[in-house]
Amino acid sequence: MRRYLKHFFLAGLIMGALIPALNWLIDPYAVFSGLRIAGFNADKPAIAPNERIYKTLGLAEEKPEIIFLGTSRTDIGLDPKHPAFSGNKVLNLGISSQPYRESRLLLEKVMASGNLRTVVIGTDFFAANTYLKPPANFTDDDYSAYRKLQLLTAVSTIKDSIKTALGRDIGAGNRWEADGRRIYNDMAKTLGGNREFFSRNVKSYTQATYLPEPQCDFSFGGTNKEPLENIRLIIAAAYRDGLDLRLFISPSHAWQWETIAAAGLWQQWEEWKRRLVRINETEAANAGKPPFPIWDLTGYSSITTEAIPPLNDVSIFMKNYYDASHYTPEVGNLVLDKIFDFHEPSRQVPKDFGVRIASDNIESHFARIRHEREIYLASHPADIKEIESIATEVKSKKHCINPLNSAAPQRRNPPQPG
Amino acid sequence: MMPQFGHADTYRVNMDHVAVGLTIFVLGLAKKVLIADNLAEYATPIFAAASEGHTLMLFEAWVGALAYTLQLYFDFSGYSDMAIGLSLMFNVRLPLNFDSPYKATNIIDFWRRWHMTLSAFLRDYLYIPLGGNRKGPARRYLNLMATMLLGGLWHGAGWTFVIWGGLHGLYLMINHGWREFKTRMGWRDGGRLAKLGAGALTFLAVVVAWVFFRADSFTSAQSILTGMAGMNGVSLPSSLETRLASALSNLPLISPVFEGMFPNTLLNTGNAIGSIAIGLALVWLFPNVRQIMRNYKPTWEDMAGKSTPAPLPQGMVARGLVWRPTIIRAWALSTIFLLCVFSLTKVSEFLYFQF
Repeated sequence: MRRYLKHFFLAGLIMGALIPALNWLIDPYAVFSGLRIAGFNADKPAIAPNERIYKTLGLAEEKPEIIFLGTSRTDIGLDPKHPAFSGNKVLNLGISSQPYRESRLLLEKVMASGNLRTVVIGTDFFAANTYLKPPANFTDDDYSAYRKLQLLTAVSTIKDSIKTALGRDIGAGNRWEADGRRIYNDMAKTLGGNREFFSRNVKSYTQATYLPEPQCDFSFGGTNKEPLENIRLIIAAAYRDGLDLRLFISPSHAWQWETIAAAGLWQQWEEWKRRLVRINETEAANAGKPPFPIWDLTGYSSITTEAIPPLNDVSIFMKNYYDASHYTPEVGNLVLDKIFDFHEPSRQVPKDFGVRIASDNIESHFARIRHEREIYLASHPADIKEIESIATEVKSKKHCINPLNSAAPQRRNPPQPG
Repeated sequence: MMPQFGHADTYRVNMDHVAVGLTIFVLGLAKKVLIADNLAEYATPIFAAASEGHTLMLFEAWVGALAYTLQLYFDFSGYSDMAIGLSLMFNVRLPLNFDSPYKATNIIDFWRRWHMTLSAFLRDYLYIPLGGNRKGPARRYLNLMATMLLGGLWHGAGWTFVIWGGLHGLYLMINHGWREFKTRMGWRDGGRLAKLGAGALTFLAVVVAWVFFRADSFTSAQSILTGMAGMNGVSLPSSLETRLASALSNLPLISPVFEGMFPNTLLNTGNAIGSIAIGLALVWLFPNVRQIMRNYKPTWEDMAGKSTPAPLPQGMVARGLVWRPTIIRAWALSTIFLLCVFSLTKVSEFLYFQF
């Protein structure tokens, strides 16, 4: 029996030390040792399903001077290597489906590290809906001081270490630059071309992003439940700490605005922008400082109305978009040119791309977008028909608690993209 | 049990007891962390969906009910093993609390195997003081029902617990009635096949009752049971739609939709079925911890020479599974222990890279 006990404890000590050591060494999420040995663990496919861990516990601790926050649009589109920032430590902390609250927590974490000067936030309308559930892997645990220690001994880390060492691609081809920008695996290139992905996009956003089940509704939320409260806290913190905050609304494709319209959310979309402006100006007044710039890059500009190739046409690909929602890094560069007033000789920011919005111009800005929409509707009847028919079909299959929103039986909502 | 505290030996370190107790403790921990917590990942979202008012279809409802049935057993019997093991390390033998309850072939048998310490308590302090079976058959049935209803309330102040207790009271009444009827008719117990059928019926009755026990309202329980009865329809994997839709459309009663096996919860079908299959195999085909540790008499019953429903295993398979203090087993136990500790941190993954 003594021998049995001796071996039990010996085995425990050996394996209990070896397994965390291997996890640390292989470092599947790039948050422990930082080692990247070619042919062994240089490629880290496990970051894809664990991007939150990688960015929250890895990148965010690198004491950046400039950060980008936002959802997958920021993640994919904004390049920290943009020449406007040369010589600075810039990180892209955009994460798929990043809720406003996560943006705030990340900002607070980076602010505490002391070097932060500039924050760029790409915001999306859907994140303001109190009914949109945060992604399942967004957890406050990632902000605990012991989280890395926990992960070092987690079974999931062991599994991901093994997959990393074996070189399994578990990230659908997505990889990340060392500065946090996601190198998007553009599946349109191999699966049916851009139009296919525009349709899929309308489908999934109508299904799960704009009016998520089971409520199938939109609300800015009440006290304590308001996602936008996090934006207010971000803005207030930036004024308080003297940060240079630049906020913009993601320049998705015109199809995205038509998807919003087909969901019956146009008014709420405008109201959301009004609230952003109001929050910013109120906090500026409270701090006694001029308001931060808020750039609206939506609408029907020469960028956002780029023509979509016919279905299954893989001979030509769009310059500005992967799908109806995600813009390419080329557009991302124009975004950064615009909001930092940077002039790169090799490219021109189109004059119709982006308007700085404030309370004194917002209503006329809305009127202009509505007018330009009329022109777009008239000139793209086939596209509009396609969007509306997809939206109608998806809506008829949704399972909502409120029978007014759907007559179908009630089902739970699938994980939301974005 | 108490006399153990009077023995001088109880206060000396006994390496045999430490090793056996530790082994039982780790096996109990594994039941809880590796098996029960894994099953909860299927039971919890399905019961939550029912509570949110979603319509559960055949497969999803059954997975929810079975996952919970197994989760509860592995959870509770795991904790009980941990207590038995820990206390044995300090030379105290605790009474057995679970004795392969899902192998029971009738409800009376089930209650001799499930939460045995509570059953004994209810018997000694409720059923017998109420008169037990000493005041005629009518009072006996009434006493049974009263005991089980109060046993239900003991688990929580809610109507679902009362219904659970009431169901078991009813089951026990039927079981006792059937027994008397059989005796009166001079029928003997059936063969293997009859036992198998009796076991299946008992298990089904227990599963149905657990649905009420777990559900947060009568409506949720009803929704799951309706789904289990097939009255909410069937949903099949969408990949089968092209192959099966036309063939099935001609059948009169079945009209499946093709929204996946878990249209409400989107759980991983393979993992769910695998977890439940492993769980069922463990409770039906394998000996329990006390049986595996039989050579070391780990429980109070072993020491007191009391027999319990599950017989100590005989034969080749049993001999292989019976625990001995070998080096391989020490390493295996250590691996299980570390797996348990390393499983305490749960990380959920983001599965939609496309967006």
